[in-house]
Amino acid sequence: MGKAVLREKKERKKRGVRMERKKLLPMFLLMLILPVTLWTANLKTTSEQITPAVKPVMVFATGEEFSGELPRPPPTPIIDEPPQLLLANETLEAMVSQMEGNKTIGKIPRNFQIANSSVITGRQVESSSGQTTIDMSTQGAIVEPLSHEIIDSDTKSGSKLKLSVTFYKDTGEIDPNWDYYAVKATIEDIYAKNDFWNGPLFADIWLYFPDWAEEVPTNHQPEAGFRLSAGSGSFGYQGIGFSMNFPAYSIGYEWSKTKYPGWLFIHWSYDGGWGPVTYWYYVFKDYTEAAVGIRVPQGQKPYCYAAGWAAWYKFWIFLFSKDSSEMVYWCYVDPAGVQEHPQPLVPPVPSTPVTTPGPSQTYTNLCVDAFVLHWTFTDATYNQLKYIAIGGMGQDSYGWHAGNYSYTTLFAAVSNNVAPVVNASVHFYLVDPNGCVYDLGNWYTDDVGIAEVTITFDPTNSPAGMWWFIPVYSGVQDECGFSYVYCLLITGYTYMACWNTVYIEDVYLVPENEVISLTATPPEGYVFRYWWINFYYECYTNPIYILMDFDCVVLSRFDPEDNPGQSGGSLGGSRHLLQ
Amino acid sequence: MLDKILTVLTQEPPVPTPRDPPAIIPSPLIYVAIAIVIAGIIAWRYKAILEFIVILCSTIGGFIIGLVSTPPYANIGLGMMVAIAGLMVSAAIVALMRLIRKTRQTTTISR
Repeated sequence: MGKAVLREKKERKKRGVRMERKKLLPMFLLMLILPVTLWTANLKTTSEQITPAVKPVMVFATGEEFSGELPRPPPTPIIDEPPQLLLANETLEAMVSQMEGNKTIGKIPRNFQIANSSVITGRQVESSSGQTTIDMSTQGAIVEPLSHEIIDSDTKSGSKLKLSVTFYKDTGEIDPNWDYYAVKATIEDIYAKNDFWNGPLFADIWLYFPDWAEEVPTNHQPEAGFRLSAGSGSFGYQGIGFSMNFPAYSIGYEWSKTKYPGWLFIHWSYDGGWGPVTYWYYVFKDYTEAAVGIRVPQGQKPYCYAAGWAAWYKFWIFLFSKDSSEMVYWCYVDPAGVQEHPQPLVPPVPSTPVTTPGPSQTYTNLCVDAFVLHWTFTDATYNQLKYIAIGGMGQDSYGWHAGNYSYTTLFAAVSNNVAPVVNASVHFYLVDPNGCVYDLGNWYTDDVGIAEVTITFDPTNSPAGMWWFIPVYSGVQDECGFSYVYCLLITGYTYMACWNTVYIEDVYLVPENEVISLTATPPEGYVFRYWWINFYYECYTNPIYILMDFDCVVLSRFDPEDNPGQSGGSLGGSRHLLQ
Repeated sequence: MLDKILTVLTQEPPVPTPRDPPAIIPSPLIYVAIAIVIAGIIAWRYKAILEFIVILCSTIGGFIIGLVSTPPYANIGLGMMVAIAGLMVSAAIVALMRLIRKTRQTTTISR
């Protein structure tokens, strides 16, 4: 009885195992099929894994069928090097232009290049007849006339994030109304690109254009949406085309002309996930790019400011913990040759505005004083300081000259009965050597009554010569002139034995280290006594020779013939020149 | 000509304010781990170890497939996505199969 029960139990167990095995089979099949299906679906979505739809084609620069009987040797085939190919002998009409989707190149006309050559990975193969053909089947290729030039670039680097901006212009368009530009901004992780357990989970790129620029037709990359992975792709806008690296996961894009008045504001935000619920992984590991195409009225020169930000997170398998974040700004790009700009960026204003900013209250003794401070460097990186000079204070008309690479701060001190006027809105104007007046806007005075603006001088863009800074407040203005590049030579004379009256004779701009000669010609009834140089040195020879290694004030003293050494007539109020 | 010279404060746009993301963010793997633990407890309770192994293998397989599906780079994020998909779909199918089996057994008994 007991044995029978045991045997039955064994039989049941065996049957149970068989049943379990039978059940296992579909489950394991399921286990295999499910991920493979998901994987296959994913493959279709990534841009770099597009399967070509068209078989290899014969590609020749002439567009003719290559038969081996042509009187000339075969044209240069398309290869993946160099990146830009220039092929010959075809017209625009004959061009097999850009084809949608995964197509291959039929003909390539003369003077047109292959955009985004990185997409093309064709290789030379031997056809059955032994002739050279090009296999373009490995990738789809976009063919369009490439007519862009890089016109400017800039970079700014923090300790963790590096931002670079490149400015492109479409040079091939014949649109009489609009010019077309594109900007590519790159942010690079220089902090943790080689650290698997650390990387940027969030990133932002901001671009600011003047508000007369517009994104027409809409064209920006990456587009808003969700990307399964980071990868490479291409950007094309009119005749401009280049390859790009895209970030992964959630991508946000916004633009506005109203958020910041005066600016076309463009913003990409990259998130490594879907809001607070979950975050997948780092949005990029090494670097990623964003690009936008803009058009501007014909002849206008747009410029662009760029800023970048990223937040690094450590990956703890089950958690991401914030490591750090960094913001980098500004990268600035603008077109080359911007001095040929048909219209100034800021409309010219009268040197003495009719309406001036400021409160309606009246001041009994309002005084505005303009002066300048130069930080001049010897190198283009603005690292090696050459000198610092401040000048133009009080009744001085001139400040010291600014060297090739300079930061110049324009100051306006506002006082009323010697007491500083706080929070006064002072309007700043700047006049360049060509007489163009630029409106720098309103700036408020601080608690000591001083408003300031800093500008950068660069010899590649700044015209050398005499500049004038004019602050205006409540109808009162002051001027301060300063030279850029050239040394400033101020000559004057006096008829007096005492030196409280100086009359400005003239101002000269002299190249640095030039030797000049000065001859004093006394007016009738006066005799030359001596030169007074920089209010310190006396020189009794006439003419004199001066090495202009810096700015210089040279005054000649004339005394009455009948009473040398005594004071003559007064020629106006005292006025200092340079301090 | 001045726009390059005058990289002045007046012309610079307002500095954008960056986001302030949270200090700690859960990774999807924590949800996967929680789901696996719950599935393990249920499997232990209802003696469904084989189903649990199927769910586990599907999750791990999904992760690996997502990880390698964007060559030449490993894609951990996509791995997590496919792992979650594998987990959810396999769990649903396993549950469905058990439900069908239970219905059949019930039908047999009632007959």
